[in-house]
Amino acid sequence: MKLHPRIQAHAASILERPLPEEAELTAGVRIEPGRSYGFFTDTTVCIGCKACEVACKEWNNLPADEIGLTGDSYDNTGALSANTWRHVSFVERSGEHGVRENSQAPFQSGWLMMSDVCKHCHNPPCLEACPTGALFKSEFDTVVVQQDVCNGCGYCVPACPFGVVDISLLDGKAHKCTLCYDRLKGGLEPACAKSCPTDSIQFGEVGDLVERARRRVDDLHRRGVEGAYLYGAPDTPGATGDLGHLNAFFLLTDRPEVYNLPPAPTRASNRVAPSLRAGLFAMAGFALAALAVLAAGGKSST
Amino acid sequence: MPQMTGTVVIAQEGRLQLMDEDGVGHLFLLSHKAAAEAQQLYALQDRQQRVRIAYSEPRGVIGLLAEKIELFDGEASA
Repeated sequence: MKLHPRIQAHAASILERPLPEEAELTAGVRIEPGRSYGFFTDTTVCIGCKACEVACKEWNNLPADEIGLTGDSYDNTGALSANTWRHVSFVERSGEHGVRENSQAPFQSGWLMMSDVCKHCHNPPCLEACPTGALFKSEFDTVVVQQDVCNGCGYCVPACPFGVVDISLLDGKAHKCTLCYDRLKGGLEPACAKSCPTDSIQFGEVGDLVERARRRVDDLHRRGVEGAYLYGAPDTPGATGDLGHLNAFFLLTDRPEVYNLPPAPTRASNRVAPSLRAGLFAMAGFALAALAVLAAGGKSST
Repeated sequence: MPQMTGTVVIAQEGRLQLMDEDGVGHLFLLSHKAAAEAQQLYALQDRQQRVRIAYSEPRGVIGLLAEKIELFDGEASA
């Protein structure tokens, strides 16, 4: 079959073979099945360039959506969706040290920027809600949707406490970040982390990342950023409600709500037993009331 | 319905890149109406298969929606 010259040019521009264990060169970590991998997102060094959004869309062949201007600062993506697996949020603070000040303290005093992503929870509620087993934990301890198994029921969407999973109305299936499952299998660092120019997004083994993040928090405290804390690391805000920890965790300098993160996320399955109990008590109450009314009616008629 | 002919160069989940006759890449999403499944697209990528795609243009997305994919080498349509 005769190929178009453009296709041949593309083939000639790539390496003869993939670099073995490329992540060792780019992220300093060897990717091996059976270990736990994730992201540490240090929001204090995020510059809002959106390279991560672009890299994610490029690698995963995701279309641009929400075309137009939102009027919400420099954020024209809006939110995570079926077609947007990385979202850089822009939060403009007003008042003292706000964006209108002539001088600002270091480490995002007026602007808060954060690259949001699927948290790849240790106990993922989306996986628990999935009736077909389309959502699964990979050999890298990440949460992935198998497109050929997903039936588009959408149970995973309300189960996610972070609003990450979304159903595409075009193909009728659930989509979310795979933590570049295909790249991990090839020994490559995820596209977003590799493209981040300030290393705001760091990829690695979760244990190593947590240690690194705690050192960074201590360093920021020494430099006077008293409000710096981790969200989603073990025993920190975000790692609540039986979620365990989040494999993709964050360093924040303001309340989680400011970044559109829940202050105390929980597993949806935790609410099943209480809601069932409340429903049963309500039904029992209604039944007793109906019996009482019937008994009273019978007495008055005699 | 408009159609486009080209070579499947990349397939990922239910999405594929089609290189048209002029060497321009186009992003297609597999419609839920198409008689094909996402896992069938990988074979097209591996073979660098030439296909003809009947498509529609969804609103609010920079991409095309593949409604029907036909193999261009005279094989059965998907």
